[in-house]
Amino acid sequence: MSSETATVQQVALEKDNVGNFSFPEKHKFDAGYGLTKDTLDYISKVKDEPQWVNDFRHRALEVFESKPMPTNWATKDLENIDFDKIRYYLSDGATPKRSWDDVPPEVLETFDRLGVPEQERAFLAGVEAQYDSEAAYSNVKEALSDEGVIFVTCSEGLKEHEEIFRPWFGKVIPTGDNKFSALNSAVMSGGSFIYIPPGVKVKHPLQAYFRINSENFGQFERTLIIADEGSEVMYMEGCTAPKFETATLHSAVVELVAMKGAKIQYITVQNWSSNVFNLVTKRGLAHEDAEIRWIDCNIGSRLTMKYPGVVMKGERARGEVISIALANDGQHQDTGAKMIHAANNTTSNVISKSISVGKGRSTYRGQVHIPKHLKGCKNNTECDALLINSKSRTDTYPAITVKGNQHVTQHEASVSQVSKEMLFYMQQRGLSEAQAMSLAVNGFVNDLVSEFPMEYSVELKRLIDLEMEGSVG
Amino acid sequence: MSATLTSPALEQYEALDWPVRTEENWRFGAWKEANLSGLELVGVGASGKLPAPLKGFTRIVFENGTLVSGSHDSVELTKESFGPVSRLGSVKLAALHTAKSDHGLHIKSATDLSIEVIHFVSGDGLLLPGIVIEAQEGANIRVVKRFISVDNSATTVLAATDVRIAENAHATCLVTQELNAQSKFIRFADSTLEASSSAKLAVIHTGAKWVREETYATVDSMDARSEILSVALPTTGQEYDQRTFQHHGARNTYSELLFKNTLFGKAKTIFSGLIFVDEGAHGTDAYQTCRNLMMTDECEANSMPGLEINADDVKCSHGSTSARVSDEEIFYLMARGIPSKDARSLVAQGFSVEAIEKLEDEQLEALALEVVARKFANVE
Repeated sequence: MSSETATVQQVALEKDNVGNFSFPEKHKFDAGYGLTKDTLDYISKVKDEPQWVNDFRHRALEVFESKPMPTNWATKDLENIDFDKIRYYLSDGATPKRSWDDVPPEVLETFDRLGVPEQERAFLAGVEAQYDSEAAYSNVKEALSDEGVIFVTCSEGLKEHEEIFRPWFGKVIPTGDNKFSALNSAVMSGGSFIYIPPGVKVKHPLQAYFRINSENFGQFERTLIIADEGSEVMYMEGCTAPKFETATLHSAVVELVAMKGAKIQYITVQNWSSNVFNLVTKRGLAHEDAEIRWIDCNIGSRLTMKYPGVVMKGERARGEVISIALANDGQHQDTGAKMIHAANNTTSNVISKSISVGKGRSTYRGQVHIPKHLKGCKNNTECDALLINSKSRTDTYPAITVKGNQHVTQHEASVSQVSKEMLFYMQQRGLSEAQAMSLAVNGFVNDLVSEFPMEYSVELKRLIDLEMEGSVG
Repeated sequence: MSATLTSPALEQYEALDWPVRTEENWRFGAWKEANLSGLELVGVGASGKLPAPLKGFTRIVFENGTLVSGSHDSVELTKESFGPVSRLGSVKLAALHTAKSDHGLHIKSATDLSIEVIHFVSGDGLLLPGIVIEAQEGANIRVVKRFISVDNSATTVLAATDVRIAENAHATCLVTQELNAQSKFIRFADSTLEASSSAKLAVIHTGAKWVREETYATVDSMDARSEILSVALPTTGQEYDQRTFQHHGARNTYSELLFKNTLFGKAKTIFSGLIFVDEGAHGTDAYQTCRNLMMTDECEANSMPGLEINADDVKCSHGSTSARVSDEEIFYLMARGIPSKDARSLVAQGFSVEAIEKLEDEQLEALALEVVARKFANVE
């Protein structure tokens, strides 16, 4: 038992080592600990924001303070977040650099070690790299900006492209949606604003990389992506943080707007260190014939609560959530999907696979809503859970509302474990038990992993291998 | 005797709060309907037309709280509640039953037994029947309970059932709820199973304007098997809210749940089910299926099938679907000369039969089908 625990710890270390390094803090701007009205004014001042944004922040703070923690349905672990012990804004200035040469050396080294500039050269159409509160680097290939594609930080978006930005900002996820969307609205900084003009199909993915470097820090990025009529875009985000002794908070809000016939794919590989509370609100609004896909993989963090949603507002709109979650010792992956059908002939699909290892706990929470007087709506939901050890835990809590007889919904969930026969079979052929287990788990998620771009799926398989090593004994 | 049990119970009932909107156990539910404050117990009941007797069954008839005919050595009439426990959100309602119920039955047998209980329900007010079914070692007990309105008044029936099955025993319990469209029906149905025992608990809902049913199956002994079955046929003005909990607490246990809802008119249903597997309950086999057949464009079905698994080496699954009768099936039947309305009814009845067949008891199946057919004859 003790040797097993030791191996698990060793593996956890190795996994975290991907992002487990930090540099001394050299922040020019620091809002200090705790959250008050002054914190908001400080952030607004540093970012030189228009008055409407400052007002927006203050309203949000009121909402945040008035809302209770959602512990009537969510885990009590949320109560361990001490909002007074968090630093809400740390930056070196709000203007990102357009060239890696201008980025401070330790920030450059950070992203170099994480492989961001290399990937940018290899296959990305644009990159934003966020370091604590603000983006250190943001660039998009010239050919794309010539076509009118905007890929900037959120602060630049609201100042320089207000006419496109403001009509949709906070419309998909209103401030009062939940306690953490209100928190984000009050102290947001960083994140991306993307606008794809009509008909433009961005062939290569755009990427954002979120990095927490400082202890006791809360990252609150805000992203708004608007894909105009008939356009297509794929956006990927990655994230890491060093492993600190204290809890760190990451609470993002991501809003997607797909206009008529547009397609947005949003890909996340979440590998926060296991001290991060990751409480994220993500939702997309799909107009006529539009398609929004959330492809989501959660491997890291202490507690993740994330239920990407799609509001299908136009006829024949389509929403999809593909989700992989892996919960190891001390982790709770509380993920799911929200599908709100608001027009005729809209279709949605949710496929969720989770793996619980050691004392890990994974949860699927879903909502499907088909209101009155619609017809031809379809939903398919599948959630499969794999339990590896006897202390592993998994839960499923879907809620499906259907009104009327013109629709088809189906929900199916199953829980299983890797069969002894399967492991025996592979061991007979010379694999160690751990290798066999790893292979079985990779097989379990294989069809979903292939939904990720090549570069990510290779990385994903490696991360899963690392997590699985030493988990059998 | 009743004074010692009832007084603290009454205090407890009065100290508790009625359900509120924010409780997870009342999500989508009509929590306001559960507020029964100010409701007095119903008075003396009236008689109704007795249905054809079931062969081999001992018939016991109640008119409201009064036993008017039938007796059996293994059946004892009780004067107070057995004290139901609500673990699914209606603590106050359970306390109300404990505090105020003044009649019930206790069936206890070590040999095979078949009992039919008819409840004729009438008058405005509250009726609080209770029943304990104890199948002792090796016994096979069948119980049918029918709730039938005999007038048009708004009666609120708050019923409680406790099924306790000893080693190697088996119990089948079929409840039919045939109240009028003004009445409310609330029921707690608990069951506990000892080693190698099995239970089939079935319910058919055709009446009442509002139903709230909390079924809690405890399967915490080796090789125990529990089946929960339900057929519900609500139409305009009817809302059925059914919550279930399949609690597995020991190795090698089995449970299966099958709910079939056919929704007519502006009916609304809520199904919330949870399979809960304790740490160490390895080898659990648990299934849960809720299927909604939507007959109109105005009905509404809410499903919340849940799982909480704390053991490995388990096989658990749940499924929930909502759909209408497929056009192909209607076409097939019409091509054989059956009018479309009859075809739809035929397909829908066939849909209910899938749950009824699981009773695996010809007499009970025939009764269930008869109740279902009567409802079909009265809708559309």
